[in-house]
Amino acid sequence: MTPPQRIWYACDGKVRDAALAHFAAQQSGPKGWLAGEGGLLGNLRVWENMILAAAHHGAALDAAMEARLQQGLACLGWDAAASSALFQSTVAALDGETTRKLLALRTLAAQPALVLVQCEWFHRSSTATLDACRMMLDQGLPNARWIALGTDAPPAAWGFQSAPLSELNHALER
Amino acid sequence: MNLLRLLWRLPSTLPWLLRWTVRRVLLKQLYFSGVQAIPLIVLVGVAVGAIIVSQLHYAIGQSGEGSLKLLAIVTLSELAPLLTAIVLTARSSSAMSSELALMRVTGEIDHLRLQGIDPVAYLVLPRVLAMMVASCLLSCYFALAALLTGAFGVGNLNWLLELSRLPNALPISMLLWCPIKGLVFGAAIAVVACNRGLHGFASSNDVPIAASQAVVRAFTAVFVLDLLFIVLGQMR
Repeated sequence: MTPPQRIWYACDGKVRDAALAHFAAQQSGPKGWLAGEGGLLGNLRVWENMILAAAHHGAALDAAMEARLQQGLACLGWDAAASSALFQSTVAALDGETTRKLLALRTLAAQPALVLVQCEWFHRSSTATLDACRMMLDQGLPNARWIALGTDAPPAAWGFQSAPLSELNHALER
Repeated sequence: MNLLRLLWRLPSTLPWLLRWTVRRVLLKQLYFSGVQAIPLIVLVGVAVGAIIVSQLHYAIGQSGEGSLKLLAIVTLSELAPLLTAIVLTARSSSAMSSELALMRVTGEIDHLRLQGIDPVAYLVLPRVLAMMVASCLLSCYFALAALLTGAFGVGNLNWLLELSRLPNALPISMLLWCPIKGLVFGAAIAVVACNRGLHGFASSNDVPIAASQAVVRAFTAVFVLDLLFIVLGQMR
């Protein structure tokens, strides 16, 4: 039996912080990170944020990366003109919904083997945003392992399986 | 303890310089700490050259050649690296420390970690290297500005002749002392500032405190290191 690809741990506070650090340390290379709030670096432009994790781990900034980003932008409902303006803008100018969409786009660009999610990312996003992000990430990251952490369960459509907290505590103790 | 851990970790992050993301931060920091500080450093260098020569040559009555030689010795061995370090500490270390403290308070350091980006490799390494290079080169610019001013003050239109006599009067080791001290002081300033920025309370009140403490600790580090250099120089 293969282990579930998408796991949800019902935890919060310091346990969640420790769990995030634990899972991030276990996987080398770039990781997807969908934060409930913020998540982008304020001293970089949006386009720099989008490619930072991928480029930092040696991904080529080539036509394939550009095509992936363009496909993602189209999936999220931004046309060429809107994308261009968005990529040149600063992080401070973004609203929460746009930031959460961009976190998903950054995850797509990084092509990570592991995606970490704060459950607030699901619950603060609109249904339309969630549907667009799910379609984009399901297509773009078919083999990624997902771990969601938060007290409220992720929407059922995302296919997360609940895992007992004892399992998480056991992993953190090791 | 955190400072020692940071110092220990830095060399192992050097291979990350191959990534353009880190080199981009390095170039930005070089521009901020190095290029943008040139006018101030040159101004201070000119003032120091003028003050020392005016005191030695015009007030005390030292010969022109002797005044210039003393200026060269004092500037190259002490004043250029020390005053450059003081200017860089006041100008850049507070900015460096408060930027990192703000990133920590807003959770951006954690966001980097969770994307698989080591904050030491991405944030600290380029800042330390940029400050080392900036401090080294700015110390040399400082010395050059002071010596040119001194030569002009002593020789007026014969300033080039006065300056051309200097290399014979100075040992080579003294010429090397200035950039070496610049490198060490630059490393100390940046490591202290980054360490203070990365560690502390997770509250917005900590940002100005981090900036102020970084300046005080960097000054302390620079003066202690300078004392060590003096002791080392005496032992040779």
